[in-house]
This record gives sequence, structure tokens and C-alpha cells, in this order.
Amino acid sequence: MARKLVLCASPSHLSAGLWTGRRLSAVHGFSNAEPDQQAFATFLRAARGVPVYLMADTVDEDYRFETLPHAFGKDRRDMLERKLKQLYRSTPFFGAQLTQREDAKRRDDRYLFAAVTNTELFDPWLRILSASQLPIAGVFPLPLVTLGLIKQLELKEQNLLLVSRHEAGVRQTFVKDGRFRISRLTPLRASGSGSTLESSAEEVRNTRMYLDALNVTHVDEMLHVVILDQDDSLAALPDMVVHGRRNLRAVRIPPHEITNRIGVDSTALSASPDALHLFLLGQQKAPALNMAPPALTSGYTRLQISRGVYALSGAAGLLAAAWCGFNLYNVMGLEDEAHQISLKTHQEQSHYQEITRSFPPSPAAASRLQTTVEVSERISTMGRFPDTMFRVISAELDKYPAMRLTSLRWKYGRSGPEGSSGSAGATALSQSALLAMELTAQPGDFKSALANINSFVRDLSKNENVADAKVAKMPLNLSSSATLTGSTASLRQEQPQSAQFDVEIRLKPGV
Amino acid sequence: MRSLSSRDVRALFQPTLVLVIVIIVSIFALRYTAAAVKRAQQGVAAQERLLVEARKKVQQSDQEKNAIERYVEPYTELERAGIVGDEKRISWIDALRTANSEVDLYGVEYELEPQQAYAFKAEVAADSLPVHQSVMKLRFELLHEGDLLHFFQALAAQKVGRFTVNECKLQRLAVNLAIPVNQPTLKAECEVAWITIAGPAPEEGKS
Repeated sequence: MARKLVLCASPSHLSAGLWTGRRLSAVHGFSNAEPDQQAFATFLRAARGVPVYLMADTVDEDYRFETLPHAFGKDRRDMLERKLKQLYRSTPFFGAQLTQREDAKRRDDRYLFAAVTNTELFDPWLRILSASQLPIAGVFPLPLVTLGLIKQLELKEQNLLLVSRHEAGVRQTFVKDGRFRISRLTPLRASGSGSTLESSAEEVRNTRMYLDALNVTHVDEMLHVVILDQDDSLAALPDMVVHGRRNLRAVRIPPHEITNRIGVDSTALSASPDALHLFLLGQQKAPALNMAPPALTSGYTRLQISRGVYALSGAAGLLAAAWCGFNLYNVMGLEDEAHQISLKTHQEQSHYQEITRSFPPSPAAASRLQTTVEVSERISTMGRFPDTMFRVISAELDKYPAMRLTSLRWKYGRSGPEGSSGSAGATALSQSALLAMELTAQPGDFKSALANINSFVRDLSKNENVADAKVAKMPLNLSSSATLTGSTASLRQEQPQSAQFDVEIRLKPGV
Repeated sequence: MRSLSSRDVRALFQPTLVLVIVIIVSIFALRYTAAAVKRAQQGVAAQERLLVEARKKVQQSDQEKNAIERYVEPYTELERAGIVGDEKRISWIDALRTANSEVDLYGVEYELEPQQAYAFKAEVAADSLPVHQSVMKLRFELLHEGDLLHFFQALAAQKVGRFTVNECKLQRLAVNLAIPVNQPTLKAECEVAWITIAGPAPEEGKS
């Protein structure tokens, strides 16, 4: 747990202690005198970087309750700021705390306003603290720190008066229904022990009457006085308080019980009368009512932000470390799994090797043998010679003696305009041929020549092996877009002429 | 909201620096470990594939044995015939010469191109099998078209490799009546593809 420097400032004295998580140590007292102030400065050097929690124990204090309309957020902050400035113009040490919400119809908020009205009390100590550059967490009223006892001592009485003796005097804090109402500090007069007790008892009785006068308590109600006797000096006080008073009941809590029930050790208790409250201040996170002006606590704000950032760094680092750890754990698991699988694979491979010893000798793997043989067979059956094409053409040419084949271009490949140079996809292969032919015809007898050519192509198409046959080029271009030339001289003077034409023929795939 | 003073900046510098360093280191560490997890997962997947493969080989060992017994002889025959393995170009040319002689042609001019991938690999479903072809262009003269078929049949009968005829162009030659019989009447230009299948790489080894 974080360390704290807990201080209790009174008009002529400062008590200091170091809270180290669960215990209070190094309890010292310093007077207003110059040597003690220097000693305090020296004391602070040992607490470098430790945040300071300062408690005010002075008669120059003010507590008042106000009921304000219910608000929250910025509206509440602005309203409280206005109210505090209105109430406490002469001091920077003031604060407010929401104590309860009223049950009435408007459900207004009830606030406790508190201030230290004489700031000279803090001047020497704050000057030394500022010089030491220690972060100041806040300035808190001692009576509100006292409230921490109610839960620890299990005090459930309706009207409760906590009495304790401090360096500054006797402090009486009245608590009704568990809530702070009034607190008074009575400075001790320097006289004999008996008269001090008597005056303390008188103060308690006066407080009782004061409460009745304020109508905070009724005269018939019982007031339970709890006397915190830190040094065994108030043993006779309970009897003196209740003497002749029916509406008062007093209980003293001796030092050993304070030690047992609260936890503060006897060494600290004996070192200072403020030790119990220093201990309570150390125990508490931070009282809600902080009277320190923001300028005074800026160093602590920085410290908190720094701690927050460090905490965030730590959390991020831890989260990342946990995640990385989880990942590495996974990696180890996966590597182990891979190793196990690898062992099984080796077993299977060994088993396979064992089996292969009975295999006949082979120049290649079985799959390679099979694929190679099958592919070779397919290549073999796929190949073609042009004999079928020759037979088809010869058979038809025999029927047309006037026609003569001058050249032939045969191809075997993929069907389509580009033949075998087409795409690499699997398509049926087929034979095709381009025939360059000539026809001996009478001059000018175009109709007869064209009819013969068309008849030849038709006959080719009818062959069972032919997929397609067509004229690629006619002896005459009869297209309307082409030029046609010739002579109509006397037919008897002219000899038979040969007409060239081309025929394309494609056999069915698989032929 | 109040602005930051120089004291605030000084006070927050170190924690902010620590936070930034922690975040950067964390990101790197997380990325590194996440990558390690991914690598390990891939390693497991690869090992599982190997195991499945090994088990499959064991399960199929009977079929494999049968396949070897069935195909080793035809395969060896293909090797002997020069279809599997390296090209035997000398044998092809010798075979050309022999075929020319047997068919009584007037001589064959040839031009053998560099080896390339087989053009009809998809049609024979060769998949990953390395099938190659070397295109040979032939020019020769014929007495008649029947000699063309006799020539290819004679070439195939040499059994020096597997070839397919891709293209042939026949052109009629002008007949010189002054020369007696047996003069060529046709000029032929053909394209033949000699096909070879590569043997297994040395590391593939025997099964």
C-alpha cells in the first residue's frame, strides 16, 4: 500500500507520522519554535515523494449545514462554488460535502460546509512543505476523520459524543444517527490534572446543554459519551461527566482497547495525543471534505495522474504479458502436438517401407508408371495419318473427271479457325484439309461450272466421315461488292478454259 | 479545463514515456507471439497432411503393388522404345534415312526444332506428367500420294520413338515429258512431332 505522511496541525503544534500501509510509525511532535520547524524540515527529507495528508485541529473552524436544490454535474459544482465563496470570503481553506438527500417533496440536498477561518495556523508548516516539494493531498477537518471510529468501535447509539484529548485541547464531536453534526475544541488550561479533568467534564455537560438548546437533542434523550483515553489520563472522567446527570451515559475506551480494536500500536499512542487521529487519517482513503485550495494540491494531482499512467502501463504490460504467455503456451502445445504427429508419421513411413520391400523392382513410383503408360497409350491412339482424308477426296474426285487437284494442305489438330495453335484446353482433335482445285469448263458457261463445284462439295458433305465441306474460293467472285470483268466474244472462237477454286473440308472428330 | 504547465509536462513526461514504451514493446511481443502461434499451427497442419499421406500410402500399398506388377513391363517397353527418357535424335534421323530407303523416296530434308512442351497435353490428360515434343519439318518428293503413307508407316516401324503428324502440304509438280518414268509428281512438306515423356527425377526414386 502507498505510504502517506499524516499531519495534525493545531495553533501551536504539529504532530506528524508516517503511514506505511497498515501501521503508523515515526510519530513526532513539533512546536511553532524555529528549531522545531527546522527539525520538521529535516523530518520531511526522509519522506521524499510521499503525499501529505494534513488535518486541522483548531478552534478557528466553522461547520454549517445548508439545504440546496438538488443538482449534479457542473451545475452542482458551480452552485457549491458560489455558495462557498459567499460563506467564506476571508479564507482559502474551505470545502463542502453532500451529507444526505431530504425526504421532503423537493428532495433537496443537504450539504455540510466547513472552513478553517484563521489560515495563520498553517502558514509555517505549509511554507516548509512547499519548500520540500512534497505533494499535498488535502487539508481535512479533524472531526470528520474521527467519524472513522464509529464503524470500528461499532457505535450505534443515536446521540453520540466522542471526546478525545489532543495537543490543542479537548475535542468533542457530536454524531446523530451516524452523521456528523457539531464539533468543539476546548483548549486545555495549564493547571493540575484534577482541575483539567473537572473542566473537561464541565465542558461535556455544557455541550449537552448546548445541544438541547439547539434542539439537536431533547433533554429526555440519552447522550452517550465515548471517551477516547489514549494515555490513561481520563480514567476518572466518565464518573465525573455522568455525576448527577440522568441523561448522560459515559464510556471510556482505555489505551489497550484502542490498540486492540483500532490497531494503532501503543508506541505511537504514547508518542503523541494526536496519534489515534493520525492513524485514522492514514487508514482512510481520503475524507470527502477537502478544504485545500486547488493550487495547494496541484502537485498531488500530478502525482495521481502519474500514478494513474504508471498503473495503466503496468496493466497494459501485465495484459500483454498474460496474452504473450497464453500465446507461448499455445505454441508449446502446438509444437508438442506437431512432434507427436511427426512420430506417428515416421511410424507409418517405416511401416510403408517395410511393405515396399515385398514390391517388385520398379524404375519409378507406381503412380508414375501407370500415368506414363496410360498417357503414352492415349498419345498413340490419338495420332492420325492423312490416309482417311485421301480416301474421302479420291472417292469423290472419281465422280468428277473434269476436276483436278493441284495441291492439298492437311492438318490434324484442334477444331476451329486457328487449328492446332488454339487454346490449351482439352478439345476434340480433327483432321481438316484445304484443297486447291481446277475445273475444265467451256468459256462463258459459268452456271454449269458453278453447279459442278457445288455438286462436288455437296457430295463431299454427304460422306459419313465428313463433318463439314464448303467452297473457300469460287472461280468467279459474284459478290455485289466486287468487280467482275470478262469478254463476250464469239463462243466458237474460244477454247475450253480451266477455273481455279478452293474447297475446305473437315472430318468428324475421332475419324 | 486548465492548460498544462511546464511542471505538469515535466511530471507527466516520464510516466507517459514508460506507457508508450510498454505499449510498443507489448505490441511487438504480441505480434511476435501471434506469428509464432500461426507458424506452429501451420506446422501442425503440415504434419497432419504428411501423416494422412503416409497412412494413405500404407492403405494403398496393395493397389500400389498391383500397379507396379501391371505397369512395370509396359513402362520398361516405353523406355526401350525411346518414348520415356531423353530424346534419341540420332535414332530418329537414322530412322528417317531407313524409311526413305525402304519407300524409295528421292531423299528427305529435315529440320528439327528445339524441344518444347507437348501441344496436346490437355487432350491426353497428362496433368503434371512432363510430356515434351520436338517438331520436325520434312521436305521430300513423291511419286504418288500413296508413298507419303508408306513413308510414315516405315518410319513408325523403326520403333525409335513416338511421333504424330501434325500437318502435310502436297503440291503437284509439273511433269517433264522428256524424262522417262519414275520422276516425282508431288512435293510434300510435313510437320511431325516427336513426343517423349521424361523419366522420374533421381530423388523420386523407386517406390
